[in-house]
Amino acid sequence: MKGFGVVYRKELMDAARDRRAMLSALLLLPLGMPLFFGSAIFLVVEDRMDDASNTLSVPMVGARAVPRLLAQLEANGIEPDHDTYADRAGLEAAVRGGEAEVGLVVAEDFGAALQSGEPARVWVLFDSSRTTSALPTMRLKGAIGDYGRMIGMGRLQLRGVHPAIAAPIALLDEDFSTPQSRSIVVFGMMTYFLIFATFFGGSQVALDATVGERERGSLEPLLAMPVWPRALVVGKVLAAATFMVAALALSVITFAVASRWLPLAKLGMATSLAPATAAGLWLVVAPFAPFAAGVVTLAASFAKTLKEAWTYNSFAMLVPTLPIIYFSLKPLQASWPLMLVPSLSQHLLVTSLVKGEGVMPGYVIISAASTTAIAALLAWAATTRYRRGRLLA
Amino acid sequence: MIEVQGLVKRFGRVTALDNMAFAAADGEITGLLGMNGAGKSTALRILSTAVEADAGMARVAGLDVAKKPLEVRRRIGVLPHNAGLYGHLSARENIAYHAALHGLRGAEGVARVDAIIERLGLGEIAARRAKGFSQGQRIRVALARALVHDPPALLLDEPTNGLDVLATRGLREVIRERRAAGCCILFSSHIMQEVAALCDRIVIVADGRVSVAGSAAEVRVATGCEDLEDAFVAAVGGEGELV
Repeated sequence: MKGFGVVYRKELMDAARDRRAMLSALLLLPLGMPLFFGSAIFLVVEDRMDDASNTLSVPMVGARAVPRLLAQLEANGIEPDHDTYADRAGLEAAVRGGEAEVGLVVAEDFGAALQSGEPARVWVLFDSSRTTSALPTMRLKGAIGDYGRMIGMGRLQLRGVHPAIAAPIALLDEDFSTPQSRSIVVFGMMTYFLIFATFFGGSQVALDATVGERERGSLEPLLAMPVWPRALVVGKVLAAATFMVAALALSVITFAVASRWLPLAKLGMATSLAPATAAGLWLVVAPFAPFAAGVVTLAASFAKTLKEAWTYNSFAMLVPTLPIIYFSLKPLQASWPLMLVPSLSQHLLVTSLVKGEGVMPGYVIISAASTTAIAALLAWAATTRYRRGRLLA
Repeated sequence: MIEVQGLVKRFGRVTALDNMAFAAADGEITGLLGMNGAGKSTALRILSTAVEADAGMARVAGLDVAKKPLEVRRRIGVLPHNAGLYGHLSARENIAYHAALHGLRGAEGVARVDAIIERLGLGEIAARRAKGFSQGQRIRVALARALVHDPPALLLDEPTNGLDVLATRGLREVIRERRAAGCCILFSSHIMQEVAALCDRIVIVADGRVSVAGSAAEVRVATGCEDLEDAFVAAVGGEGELV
């Protein structure tokens, strides 16, 4: 193994001077993604808050005839707009075209039907494919439904029937989520992000040190140096892993800092990522770095050019995210055997940390040990490619 | 001392070396002369342990390249086809990297690197990054890198490619100096004049085999040609195909 330190130091120096590699490793994802992600959340949250607290103006047709319904809607912050659309066709077109998020049409015989005890018809017009229409539609329907139930109860009481007769089941919510566990909705995407940031952080370095070296013709004299291929591969993998660990640290820090500005409290979520949690995230994902470096190095050893290597690399980067995608659709609990799987074990640990459940130290150790062992296996496989001839032929 | 016997190397269906055999003595410059694709680079790569032969034997300083690759690598200096420098590293750092991989670190490493920079007159460009170097500068740095551990054998693959007259002269001077120090130098080229000007012995290769070997005079006799260029053309099988 003699000489791997020399290779490691040279690769660090070489990469640190490559502005393009540094830009993609340390700026693009670690700084860009949390900011992009954060501002997206910011917009969505602010938007929702606006909707829930503000007066909602709903265009209506035929509603002037039903002042009691209007009074009920106004009590719920819904303001009728009778003037913009003269008839149902105009209102329909407006909702279809997106000019109005929701519209209300009251049947002409509404009053008569109510008098005679027949179901009185109202139409709520909306387009569910528009995300912005969901909340106004829900508010409008809720308010009308409440009004209907109120009338129904009044009728039962008039006939001497206790209203509880018509409500045989009392559906009571008890939500055990905590502000921190609710924030998983936002921070749940974190594992993808951290794993991609880690991969990208060292990909350019790993590819430059392997296929790039071959492409520039410096591999041939390097293979004539009196060191074993494993020393070359270990030095190169460790150099890439170092950049990956740094990119990961930067990502976690950016995320923790950015989360302070997110209006998550308004959504009933924990307001920010505590420094201790952030440090924990770094610690549990860090062993993924040598694994990712091993994947990239091995993939690169099959490529003849940098361009070809990037293609292999983008496929290689997808593989570790597959278990995460699968198990986020089909959630499962952390367990000992799952801690053996790279990327999945990190995902489960990250999820537990973010939810504030805490993680078992044993899990962290097994995940780290297994991921590192597989990294060593990948490096060994890459070494066989570095043995004589294979890379130069 | 470099010895090659019955060397065979195939890349897929192409036979690069077909029973190649030659020897290069210490204190001599041996020229490996052949057309492009004759097998010169492959032979040099086998000798530098970068590529494994399919059959045959190759020895450097009495050591079998297949059995003792690391021992062989300690004893050779390699100048590959296109220099192969690291663009982000300075000339000095490029040389120091290979010195360190040869175990020359710390004060000894610095002293060796300084000495070779001085000898090859690289002082002015030592601190500059290799990215913007001219071909001549690149070759000189690569040569310094190949010589920094003072190897008893030198493998130079078309070192004068793309060099101007002055740079070529400078290179020849350094190579002759190594010869005087008892170094075994194997030098590949496809340029007849280059080989004639520098080499003590000429090995002409064609289609992966040695067709003629000996001093310039011996080559002339063997081919029956007075002019060395005619001798080369005759040795590689005539120019019939080219005309």
